[in-house]
Amino acid sequence: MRSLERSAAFWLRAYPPSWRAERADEVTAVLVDLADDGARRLDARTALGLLRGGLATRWRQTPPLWVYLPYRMLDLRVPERYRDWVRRDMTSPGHLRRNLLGRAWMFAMPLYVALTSDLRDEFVVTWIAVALAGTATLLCVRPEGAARRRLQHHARPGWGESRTVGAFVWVSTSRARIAAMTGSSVLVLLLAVGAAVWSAAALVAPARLVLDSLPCDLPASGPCFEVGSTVAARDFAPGVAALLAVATVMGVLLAATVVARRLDRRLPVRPEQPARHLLGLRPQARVGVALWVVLVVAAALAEATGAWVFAVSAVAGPLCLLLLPSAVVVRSRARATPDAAFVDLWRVAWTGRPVAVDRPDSELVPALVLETR
Amino acid sequence: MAFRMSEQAYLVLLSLAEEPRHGYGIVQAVKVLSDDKVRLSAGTLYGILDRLVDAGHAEASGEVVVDGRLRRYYRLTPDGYAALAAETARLTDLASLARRVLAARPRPALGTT
Repeated sequence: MRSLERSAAFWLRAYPPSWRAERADEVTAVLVDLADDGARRLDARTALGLLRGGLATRWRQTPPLWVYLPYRMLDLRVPERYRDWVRRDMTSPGHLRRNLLGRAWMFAMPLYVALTSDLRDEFVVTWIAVALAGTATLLCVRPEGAARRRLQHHARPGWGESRTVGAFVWVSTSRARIAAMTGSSVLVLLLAVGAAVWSAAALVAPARLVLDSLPCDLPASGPCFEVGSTVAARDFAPGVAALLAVATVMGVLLAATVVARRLDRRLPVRPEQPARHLLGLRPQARVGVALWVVLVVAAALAEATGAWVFAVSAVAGPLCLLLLPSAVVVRSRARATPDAAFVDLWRVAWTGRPVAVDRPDSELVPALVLETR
Repeated sequence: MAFRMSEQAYLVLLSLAEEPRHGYGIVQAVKVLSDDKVRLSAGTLYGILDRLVDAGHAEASGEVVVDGRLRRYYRLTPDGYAALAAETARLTDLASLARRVLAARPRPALGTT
């Protein structure tokens, strides 16, 4: 009997996963009932019937192309009758892969231009960096949170739509916030790495961005310029060093006089937060943060060695130095207030206003019963 | 959604009109109703059931676990009864028309080509 059920499970794979999740047990029971006594596998007619039925079900459940393509490629809302299909599409396994692949077309044109242009190698490096940055960011985003937002976008009922059992309705729920210690630790880490490597790169970078107008070698019919960059010897180190020193002093002053005072005044009088729960970092998010650190170091290294034109570190180095002391102060206060959310400290430090009480988050859930009020 | 009424779908509707049935029960009932001429396979049966449920002609009415096997029962909705009655009326009209045509037609003489 077990082998017959295995055979049934094999042929039932013709059906969409969501259909199987709902009906596989039921159909397997019917298949077992219908099979001859002692049968070890489904006969050819039954198997072909399942194959045909599965393909037909897939075809029937999928919206027509004029609904499917705008949904898949642009994430547009679908008409009400396909909303259940969209809900299944977004909650069944592989939804993230399908979503990302559906938007991949956006990269087709720039990628084609990059691969066919003369500056192919530089473009390839840039694209790898962009892909790594995208991956790192995706790893930091909670997948269930992203899926929930998409579900809210697509499955929320429109105005005047009938309410039925199983239809999605709004309910209040607890709001997820990153814990103060977790968020501030990541902030300090990224700013410290950025401050260290970008400052060093700014000091030793052999190239600087110079916009030159070069003569054209094309027989131009009008005025013609080509903009290029030249690699210059390092003759700007004293200026950069002075800039970095000023940023450091300003950062320390900012942290001591503004950020620390704001936090010390507002944090002791925090309100109760009944509609909130705190989150730490998921293991994937740790990988994402580590990837960001690698990217920052790689970018700084590229400028320090002259592989990239000196540009980012001139701004990013002083900026990180300016913000790092404040981040350290935020982290020290976070250690004293483990029940606070990172957003509380961030807002107090940034605006000086009191900590706000979180309003409940809203969630879409299928209605179990209907009652009139 | 327009529902295409095939002979098999008609027989499934008819079997559900008698009483709510589970999948295997429907296959057995259709076999009896059709005088052993229509044997539904599971793929065909669930294709028809899905279409009936989508069209609002039938609905799941409960689940029972027998010998560790899940049996989900289906029953007709008022829409399903209406569709069944309409199709039955159409078939009755067609049959009486066919009888009239056959009665009016002279019998073919034997031995002619």
